[in-house]
Amino acid sequence: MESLGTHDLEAGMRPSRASAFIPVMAITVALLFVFNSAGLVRWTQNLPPGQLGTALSDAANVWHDAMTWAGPARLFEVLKETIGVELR
Amino acid sequence: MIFPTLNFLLFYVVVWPTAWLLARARQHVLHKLAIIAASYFFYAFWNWKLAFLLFASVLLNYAAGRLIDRWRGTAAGLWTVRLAVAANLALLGFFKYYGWFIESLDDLLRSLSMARELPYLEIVLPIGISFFTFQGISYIVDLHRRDLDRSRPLIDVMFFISFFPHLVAGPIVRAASFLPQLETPPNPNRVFVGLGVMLVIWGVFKKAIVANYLAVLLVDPVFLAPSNYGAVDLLFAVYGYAIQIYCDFSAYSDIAIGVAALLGYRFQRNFNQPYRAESLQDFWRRWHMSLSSWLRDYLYIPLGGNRGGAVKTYRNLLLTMVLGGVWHGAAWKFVLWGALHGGVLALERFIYRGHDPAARIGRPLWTRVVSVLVIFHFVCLCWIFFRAEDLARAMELLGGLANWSQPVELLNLFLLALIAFGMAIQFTPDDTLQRLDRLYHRLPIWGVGVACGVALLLIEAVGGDGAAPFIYFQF
Repeated sequence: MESLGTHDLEAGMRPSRASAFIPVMAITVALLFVFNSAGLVRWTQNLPPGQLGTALSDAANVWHDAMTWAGPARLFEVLKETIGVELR
Repeated sequence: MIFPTLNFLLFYVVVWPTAWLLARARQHVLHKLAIIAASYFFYAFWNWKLAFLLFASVLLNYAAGRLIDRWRGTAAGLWTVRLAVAANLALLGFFKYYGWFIESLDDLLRSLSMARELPYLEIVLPIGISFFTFQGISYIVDLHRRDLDRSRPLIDVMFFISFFPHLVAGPIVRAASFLPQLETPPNPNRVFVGLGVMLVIWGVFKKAIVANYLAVLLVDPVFLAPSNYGAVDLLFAVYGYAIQIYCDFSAYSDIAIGVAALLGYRFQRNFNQPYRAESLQDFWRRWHMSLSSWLRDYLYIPLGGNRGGAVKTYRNLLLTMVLGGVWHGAAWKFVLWGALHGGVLALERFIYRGHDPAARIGRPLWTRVVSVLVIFHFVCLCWIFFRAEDLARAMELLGGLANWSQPVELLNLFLLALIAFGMAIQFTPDDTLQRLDRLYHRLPIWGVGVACGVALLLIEAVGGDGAAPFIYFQF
């Protein structure tokens, strides 16, 4: 019976400290929130109604307005529309 | 909650540091409790009431495990194993087949002029029930076979069955390979971060781009009304579905393995370039490996495997694959899908007499290429029955493959490129992940973060809003 496990996937791979993932996760989340702030707004719109949901939605809108004014959100929307028109 | 969504990202941003802080503080019990709580939150996100069903399954298997330990080697112990497996299957069977059974019974009684009121129930199929049931059975049987040395405390059984990365669509994790990992806290100095990150990004890409576009632009419209399309569209919709289901399902497995690896846990590999298989036996060693090995170890071998002579081997192969088909749903199309696979597996056994037809030694390249093409097309033929609404629609599609006069309506260069890409990744070198891992270690850590962020943004830009459910959620 062949052995099971991710040993074959891990063979030849170098493990790291778990903490190496912290900057990866932090930078990834930051980039997503900065460029795709519209996604954050859409996410808050689907939250269950309530005070927390409203507060998060307001905050997401303020953040999205700021990112649109600063440029990254606008840049991402342009990119999305350009690619979308080409493919869909 | 599904993986490639903001919901899951935010969930993981909380769960990951909490789990590692507790593991580093040597708070092993709290670490496990935190992951169990997160797993139940993950599951309850769909339907909180069904989380009680998951807990009931855990309790059933935990209690059975204790009794198996206590009555080991006695008739009572053996009966406990049988009853526990039967109870697991009854739970699965009730949710999965009750409606079909009552409908069939109703039809039968009507045809015999004995119609009567039958207890129809509105049953919601609990998401992931097949997977957590199979894992429960694995716990019971591994314990019985002594692949697992002793029963485990409730907290470990809960962790094993409910662990959120594999909870709803696998990989089916074996008790004997996973539970020993819970003996000690995961080692924070030995985490396969590179592997985890690569598998997650790769999985999101395959699902959000390849699988979704093929489904929306080609496969779904063609399988909805095959008679509206000509042979070229039909043929490429079948190829497209082969790539879609691979990219969808393997994406879920990749993300699950990656997410678990980042938490310090190992799952078995679930896919290994299945469309490069040179025999059907080889295909099943590469496709949904955790299910095919589960069926082999917990169904085919208990049925007798290849121990009772040639005819019984063929019968066991056919039976295993038909049951594997029926597991996907109570429909004749799944029976036929399983029977076709089982029949050809038996035929391969008959022709090659135990010799592995995929063995490469001494085989000229052209025969291997022909084998790959034949097996791929046979698997595609079976996918038609698997994907079609019903047998009639499948036959409609097969009939339409002769209609070469109708112009091409859906197929375009983009879809062709996706199909070609899906095929090309079946033939990448075996050490591709290792090469990428070396690249990961050469990059500064901030560079990895930027690369991940840019990759996810590009996937979002290309893939568009929203994420369709994974195909295997319905099973």
